[in-house]
Amino acid sequence: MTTTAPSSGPKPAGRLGQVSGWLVERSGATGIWEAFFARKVPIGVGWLYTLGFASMFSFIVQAATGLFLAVYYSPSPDHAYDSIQFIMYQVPFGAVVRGIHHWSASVMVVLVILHMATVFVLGAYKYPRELTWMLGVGLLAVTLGFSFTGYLLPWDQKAYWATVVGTNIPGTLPFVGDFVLRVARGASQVGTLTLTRFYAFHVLLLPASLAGLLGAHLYLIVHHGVSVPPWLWDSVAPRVRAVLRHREPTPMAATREEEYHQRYEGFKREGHQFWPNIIVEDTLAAALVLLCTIGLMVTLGVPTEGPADPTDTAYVPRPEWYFMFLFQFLKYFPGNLEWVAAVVIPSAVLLVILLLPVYDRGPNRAPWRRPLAMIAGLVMSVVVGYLTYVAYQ
Amino acid sequence: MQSETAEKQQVERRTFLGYIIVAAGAFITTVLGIPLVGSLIAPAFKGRESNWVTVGPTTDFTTGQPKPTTVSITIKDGWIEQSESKGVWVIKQSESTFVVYSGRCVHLGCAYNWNAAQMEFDCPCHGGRYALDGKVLGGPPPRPLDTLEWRIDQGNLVIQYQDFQLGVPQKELA
Repeated sequence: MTTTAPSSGPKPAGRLGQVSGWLVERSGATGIWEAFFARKVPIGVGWLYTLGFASMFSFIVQAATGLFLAVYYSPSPDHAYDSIQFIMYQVPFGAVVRGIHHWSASVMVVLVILHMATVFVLGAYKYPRELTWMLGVGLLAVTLGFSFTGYLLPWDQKAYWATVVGTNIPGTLPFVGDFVLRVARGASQVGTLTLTRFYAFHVLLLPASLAGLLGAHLYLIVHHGVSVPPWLWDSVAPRVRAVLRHREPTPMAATREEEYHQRYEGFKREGHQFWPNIIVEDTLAAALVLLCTIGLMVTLGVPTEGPADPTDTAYVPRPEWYFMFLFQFLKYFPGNLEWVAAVVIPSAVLLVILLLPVYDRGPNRAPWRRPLAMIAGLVMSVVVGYLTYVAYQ
Repeated sequence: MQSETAEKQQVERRTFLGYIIVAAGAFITTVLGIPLVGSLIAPAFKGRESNWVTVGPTTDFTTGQPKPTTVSITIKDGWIEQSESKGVWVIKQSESTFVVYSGRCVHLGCAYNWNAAQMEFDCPCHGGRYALDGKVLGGPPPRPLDTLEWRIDQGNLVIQYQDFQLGVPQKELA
């Protein structure tokens, strides 16, 4: 590690230069600069690769808006609804902050799923990025946990009933159902103890989990570098071949892993520096995400319902759109087998997704060379899409 | 080896991209920052709410005779609304003229009494004394009694209850 200022970074002169020089030396910023900003990113990395950063950005938006909502929110059934009304109608910009938080949650789910789908289609979960994928699946689970716990907090009709139904689902499990239901609710019925525990999960436990998983995920992304798109990786086009032959002729690799690293280094050497070439795309994508979020808020508004009423028998609870497929799926199972549809199958699917890089270790990354994986992915997307569509009919 | 022109172009490109990043970052920070910070500092700019309450029919009061009265006001504390009882002194000067004093001594906020024998208000805490017109006769009070706004609405005396800062020479809203 050197102690000189980064060569491509800004170099202000005079007193400002002295101050920045002091800061750079004392903070070890050069190390961060070299390892993170000045690192080379392989050729072929384009806009599709901004989805990961965009997902992270939507989480930052959630963290920022959530922090300011917490300034006014009261996690008690007596006051939760009133405090949300206060945010919506009394606090200047309160409706905007809540609106962004509400819509950014949906945007985050969309981005996380698109990011995951891209990684799946491009086979980027394969060697050496298996662990990155698994941490990503963990991040997906935490994201859905955020949605589920965040739902209850406004303590309106939708919040109350979606949680009643949502916590009843694991309650149908044989043997352990009642135990799981009581642990989830903190009591036998959804009430004060459910709200406080959902709040604690939503603002403390889940953010801490996400920060940990995200930190590890990011570390691995920097450590392994982002994947080269398969169409370039497998390409025999003269330009790509020239890249790989560039300067040093590579000796025959002994193993597939060694061959991978030699080839990757070739792509990386010819790639761009992360700052500013890649960051510019990421930042513009983030700005677009924010614009879309605000667009959704402006066109569709910020939903509010009446306060939670446990005695209301007419209310039909429906989950948020990304849980609708599950809502519809349950309808095809008889009551005594509901737990299979609600818990066993979704858990099995999540496990299949989590362990994907463990059982799919074939060398091919291009989607056209992985027909089985593509068909499986397509079938799953069609099923989820169809169930969601039917649920809204 | 890059030529000098190519290197210059490379630096220009980097600088240009750097500007785009800064611009997009500034856009994000502004769009998010204004509502976030605005919502946080909003209470500092929130105006006080008026608190007009009905005391009772004007016929309940005897001219020239100070009468202690309790009014119930609604206090909004964030999203929590509470009603609170406040003491006031009402002096009927004529059928259509009233003087209403806040029931708190302007020294340190104790409740004071009417001393009919001396024709003055006495505060039992620190010996503050006020005349019927509210002027200080003696003791530590730094200013006359605080008068409250009043009006007559369909035969009822209606007052605007307000709390004022204590222990200071000027009458300023608390």
